[in-house]
Amino acid sequence: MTRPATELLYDSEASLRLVDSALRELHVHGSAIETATSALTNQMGNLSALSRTLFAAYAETAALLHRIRESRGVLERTSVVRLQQMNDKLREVSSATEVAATDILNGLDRAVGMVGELEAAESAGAERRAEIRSQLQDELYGVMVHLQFQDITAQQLTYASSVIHEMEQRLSELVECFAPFALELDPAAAHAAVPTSAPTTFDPAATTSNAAERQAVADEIFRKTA
Amino acid sequence: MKFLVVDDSVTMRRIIVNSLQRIGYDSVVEAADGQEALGKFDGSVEFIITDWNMPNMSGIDFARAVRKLPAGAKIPILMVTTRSVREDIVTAVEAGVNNYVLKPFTPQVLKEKIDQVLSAVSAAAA
Repeated sequence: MTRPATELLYDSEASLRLVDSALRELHVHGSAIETATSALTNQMGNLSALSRTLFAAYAETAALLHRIRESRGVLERTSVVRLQQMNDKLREVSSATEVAATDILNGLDRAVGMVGELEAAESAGAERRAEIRSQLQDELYGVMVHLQFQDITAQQLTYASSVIHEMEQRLSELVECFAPFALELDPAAAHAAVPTSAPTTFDPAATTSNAAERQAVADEIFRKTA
Repeated sequence: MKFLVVDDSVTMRRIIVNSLQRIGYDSVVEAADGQEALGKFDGSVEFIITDWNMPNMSGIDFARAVRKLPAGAKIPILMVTTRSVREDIVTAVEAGVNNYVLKPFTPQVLKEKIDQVLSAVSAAAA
């Protein structure tokens, strides 16, 4: 079906009027659109800079994580065993101290008993008194011999101290990883905890245990090689 | 007989000196490490008892140094130490140590080792 020409002309005119109205409106808001477009362009520039910053931060974070993983690996590999050994040493110090204290107290108890015997033996012969005095001297000497635990536990504690010192150094290296990110650590405070004169002479395997067995091994070696 | 007792632990030196006195040896010179001991080592010292782990100069280095001295070539050296690893004991033998006592020692073991060393040295000299 075809429309009459007058009707088509009427519709075309109406459409042109609408376009004209739209153009007028666009002209009125043109400056605002221009401003918005300009702001959007600026924002796009900022977004680009932000993207670059985020990428750089990502690279630094990845490097940091890599170093932390490396440090963690070193700590795991070298430290766990030593910390376990240190724990064993500290337990042994506690045990050796208790054993020595008990032995010393037992010795002193016996010595006190002998002093009583000595007093009671006033009327006894000189020979008996001399015998008790000799026993008393042996007992007191035995107390002194028990004090050897001090030298051995001192070495065990020095070993434990050396392990702690080593852990401090490793943790300090780990903390250094964060230095570029300005954690504001006070270097003087960080190093204050590290002993400057860590003992250097000790036997890491020093022990109060199995003295007779260890002596037998030494005797055997000397018999064969000396 | 004059003894030279070398140990960085004052406690151990006192215990060893007291043990020697009980055995009957009253003449004792003390040193806290190998270096000090070398300074005190003269012709009058006849027996050395030394620890291993000491600052400045260890007992094993001290033993080696003594063996190089004319007066120390044959002097009895007894090492009293905590070091019980086989390789360490062999090192002590190679350094010229005559016998070895492990800490903590009993008075009987100390006396026994001193007697053994003296017997061996006099047998070798005979």
